[in-house]
Amino acid sequence: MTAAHTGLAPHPDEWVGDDRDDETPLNLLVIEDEALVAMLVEDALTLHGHRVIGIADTVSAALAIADQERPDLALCDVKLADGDSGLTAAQLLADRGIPCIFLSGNCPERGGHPLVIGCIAKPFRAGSLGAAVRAAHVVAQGGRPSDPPAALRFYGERI
Amino acid sequence: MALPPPSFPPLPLSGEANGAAAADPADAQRYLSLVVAATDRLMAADDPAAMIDSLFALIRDELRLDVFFHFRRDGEAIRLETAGGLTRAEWQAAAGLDIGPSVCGQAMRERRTLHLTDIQTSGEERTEFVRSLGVQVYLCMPLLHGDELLGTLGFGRRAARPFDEEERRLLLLLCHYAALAQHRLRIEEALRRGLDTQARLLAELNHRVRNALQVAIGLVSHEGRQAPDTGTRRALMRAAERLQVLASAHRPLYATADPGLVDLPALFGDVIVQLRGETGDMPITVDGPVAVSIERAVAAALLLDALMAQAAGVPHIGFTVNGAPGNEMLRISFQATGWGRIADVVDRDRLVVRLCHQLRATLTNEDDGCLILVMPHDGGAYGARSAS
Repeated sequence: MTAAHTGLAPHPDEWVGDDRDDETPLNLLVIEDEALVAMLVEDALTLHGHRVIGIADTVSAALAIADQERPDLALCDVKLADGDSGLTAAQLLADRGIPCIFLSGNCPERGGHPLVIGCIAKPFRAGSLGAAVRAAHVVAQGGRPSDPPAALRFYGERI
Repeated sequence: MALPPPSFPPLPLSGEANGAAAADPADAQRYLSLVVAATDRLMAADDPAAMIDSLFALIRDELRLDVFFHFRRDGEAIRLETAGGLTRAEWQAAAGLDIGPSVCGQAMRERRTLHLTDIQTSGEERTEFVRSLGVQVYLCMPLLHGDELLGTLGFGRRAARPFDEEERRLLLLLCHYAALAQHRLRIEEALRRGLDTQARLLAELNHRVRNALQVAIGLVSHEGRQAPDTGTRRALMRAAERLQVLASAHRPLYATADPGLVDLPALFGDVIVQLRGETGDMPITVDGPVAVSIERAVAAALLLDALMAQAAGVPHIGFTVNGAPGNEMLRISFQATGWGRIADVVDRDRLVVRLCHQLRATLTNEDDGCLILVMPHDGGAYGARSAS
């Protein structure tokens, strides 16, 4: 069972030495209420070989897609449509064993859950997203990313 | 910020001399009137020093006061904020006074009222300054708000009669009200400073957003002009146009009384001017103010831009708000030749589909010449509010 499935992402100090980076495409959920940003993220991730299995702009839409599609990782804005909070979405997804990273203009100080791996601040370089989701997924699996992009700030939270 | 309820100073006073109590009902009546008048002045004051001057002017005759001092604590420093009954030279001497060894310094340190009599025959260091003024009796009280020391108020008489219990009770009460009023003024000043800071930040944000968008427009346009092939050039110029639409949505935001809201019909007019160069009377009719959040305004403006890319003519645009308060729907009609046909092609345009989803909007046509966009009016959150 992987760390993501147990909900026990390791602290950066505890990252194991083996590099689990590979080129397997990840199934990703994008949670973003701005249509243009969602399209940008989708295109950037697709260009990097990943699959975007859904785009949601509310907590309930995100959970519905996540329950059906079981994504490997979710990228989540903090401010969502209809007054929803990305913090809530990330927490509920993490509770389901789905790791998350935030994409936000105002990155939260903490993730609040070990599987809320980190945050990429907006505006971001679309080119950094592919490596960021790969690194976050490696961390969620208990591995050590070989070359995590500087744009991704890890929370490194313990239970 | 809510002020704590007033706590009245305990009596009897902690003084070093006690006068006989004056329980004359006429005195009590006059003092009550003074308290009422003083309270009015203190609560209406907008300047701390003038407030104490006004208080002194009100009570000096009734209480036979000759001098007063108000020292204010400013961080670690103690400053003479105002004084009365002094010559210019005496004022300057008081302003340069080392307050530490003085009566007021002691009142601050010990946070208690000091009532000193027979000062002229005393050789105490702490009364040296007031003795030099000919003061015979001196009452010095700390100005406290909760546990915070704001300063002191001191009142002196050249006559030998000590302050009696009722006079001291009155002065303590006024001192307490003065402390409350000073606290209020400080809170108001902090609020004003906070609002000023917010206004400056908003102006800075306005500048930076506009500047950043303008730089982006310039950059994309430049690349477009340099592009070697027509397709790339057209795509980049289209991107620059969309950035211009984004900038248009932000421009009116900072001019509204209610930050965060944008006048949508005005924005649509602006977008049409920029996309088509139309500068005459805008073909837009509105049956009331339609203010929406900036996020929805940006999405709606981009949607208009995308729709206009599908059709040749500038449409007549009508805005109507329907539905019960809290559940209003905004209906926008676009009327011009060919606009009705757009509804058949928009499902194939990824950007239009995503923008409609973001806006929770539907696009239908009534006939060949009319396209109808219906969307929640910000869920009713802003529907009743005007942008200007």
